[in-house]
Amino acid sequence: MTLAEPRTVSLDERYEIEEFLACEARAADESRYSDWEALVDDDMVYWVPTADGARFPPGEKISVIFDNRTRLATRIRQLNTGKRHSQLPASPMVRTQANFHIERTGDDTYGVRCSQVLYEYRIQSTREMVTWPARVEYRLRRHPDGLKMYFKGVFLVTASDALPGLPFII
Amino acid sequence: MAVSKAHVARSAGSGADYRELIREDRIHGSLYTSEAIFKDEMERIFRQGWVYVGHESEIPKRGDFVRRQIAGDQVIVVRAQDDKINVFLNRCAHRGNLLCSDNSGSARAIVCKYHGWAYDLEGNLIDVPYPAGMTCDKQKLGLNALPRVDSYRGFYFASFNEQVIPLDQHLGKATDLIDRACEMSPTGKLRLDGGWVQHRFKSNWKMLPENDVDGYHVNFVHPSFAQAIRSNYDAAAFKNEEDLVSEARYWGNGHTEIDFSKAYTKPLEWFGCDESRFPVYVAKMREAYGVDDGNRKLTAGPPHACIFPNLFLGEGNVGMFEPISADECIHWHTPLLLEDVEQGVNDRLKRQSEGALGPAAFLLADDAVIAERTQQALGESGGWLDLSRGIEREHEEDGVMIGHLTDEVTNRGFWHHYRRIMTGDAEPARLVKVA
Repeated sequence: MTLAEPRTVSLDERYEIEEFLACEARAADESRYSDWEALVDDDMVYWVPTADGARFPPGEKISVIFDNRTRLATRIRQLNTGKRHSQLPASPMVRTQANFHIERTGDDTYGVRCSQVLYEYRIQSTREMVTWPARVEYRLRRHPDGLKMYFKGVFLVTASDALPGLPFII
Repeated sequence: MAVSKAHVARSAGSGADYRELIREDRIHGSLYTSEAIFKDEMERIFRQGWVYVGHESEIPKRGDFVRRQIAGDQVIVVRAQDDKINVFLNRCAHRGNLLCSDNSGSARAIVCKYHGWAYDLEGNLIDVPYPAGMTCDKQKLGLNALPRVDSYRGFYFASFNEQVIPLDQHLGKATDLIDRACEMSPTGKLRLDGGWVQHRFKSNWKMLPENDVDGYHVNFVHPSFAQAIRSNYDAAAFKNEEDLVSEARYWGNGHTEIDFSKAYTKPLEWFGCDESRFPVYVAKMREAYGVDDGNRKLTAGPPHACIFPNLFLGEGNVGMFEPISADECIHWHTPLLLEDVEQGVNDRLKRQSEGALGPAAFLLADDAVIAERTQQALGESGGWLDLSRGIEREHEEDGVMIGHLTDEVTNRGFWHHYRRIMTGDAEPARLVKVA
């Protein structure tokens, strides 16, 4: 069902969604790729556009990342080989998310907008700290066994510039 | 009026002895780490020689422009009257302010945001606010234009050097490589409007054109790709030495290629599919070029080549190498979109482009880290780097040096051309003042 007006969520729902996102953030920070993938729905789209590309529908222009579910599975499979030099060893990372704006978008779906700051230490190459500030948009769907995400869009503050390696889950 | 750029270091200002640093079979590590050598390169290669600045399809209409950087100078590439393409320094002739701050756009005139000076698309100063106080000759205050701009099949190159050799002489036989890219379209035309992604490497810029045509590293830098993804590269690159039929080629003047085409036996194998996937595209190609030639083009696929010094024809991508400093550069890429093909072909090119190149890609993210580690390992002392692989088994055919995919034919060619440029006695670069 599509609602004409976005609906607010209960405190219980809000708590559940923030818990889900904290789990998602922690799995990504700790490079637990398969744990992270378990939070993803079958129709997942994972999108990191350039600043120019973000003005168009996803896929219209090339993106830094534009993964459908199959491509995302490939990404995880490659990371799980343990032979991906750009994450050997995996970047130590910590991210914080804040300013959650959560709305109900259908009977069993939610939209979340938040801000995110990720600190990544490039231990495998330059040994520099990279800061990745971004706006993040999620679309979540309730399943009998809990929430899953079917869209994650990461709109980088630096998306108009040249970016260093981004082989991890942002 | 030509204006000499007195502040620019004169050729070989570093005093580096390039004949000593670049030998037949090895090069010295300081070529990647010395800022003085980097300055020499910017002058000798990027100002006095030809550099790629953009494609006609990026600026299709009069007034369309893109911003680029050449050797540390901001430039504007703009389409003017009669489809002439001009390359100006992105700097107001008055007080030096940056004229265009957008990466691309369209303008009827170029107006400075500082004091409102306005230039036409030919670089002439056409208007100044409060004109009563403007006593000097406006004719002498046009934009600085790069004196030489020329193109081949829609690929535009520019030079700061009025005396640079003709573009066709610089490209030499490598026009075949550009032809091969263009002729992936039934109209022979590309549409490079899929957007650019920029990937920052903390490494010297030369590692980009070197690595992009290095067929030796593939099994070692990309085993995670080979293990996770079935692709056309299984046949073309991930094999034992004796089973590989792909070739490394040196085309002269610094232009290099790795040619996977001998590994492909069927149309669109390079594209990771077969002809039944895109029947309209296949039919149009056969109609445009004839069945035999059309099939040949569809089977060989687009080239994988570097045009010296900064253009990458990367199969389904067009790339640019932008040097920033001795230890930093940017690898740009956009998908090689084709004119007059079904949408599915270009969509697949975009998705493959994201898969192969860029900060998160299955391939280039790993190449970048290897380049960055090399940059660190070279340190201050550098030492010698070996380039000898395959020197005994390369052979020449029609002026092109050919070797095994894994041989350093390409990198030897690059460096020998580099030595010729860096030790040459060309005139220092000059700009032309628009009159």
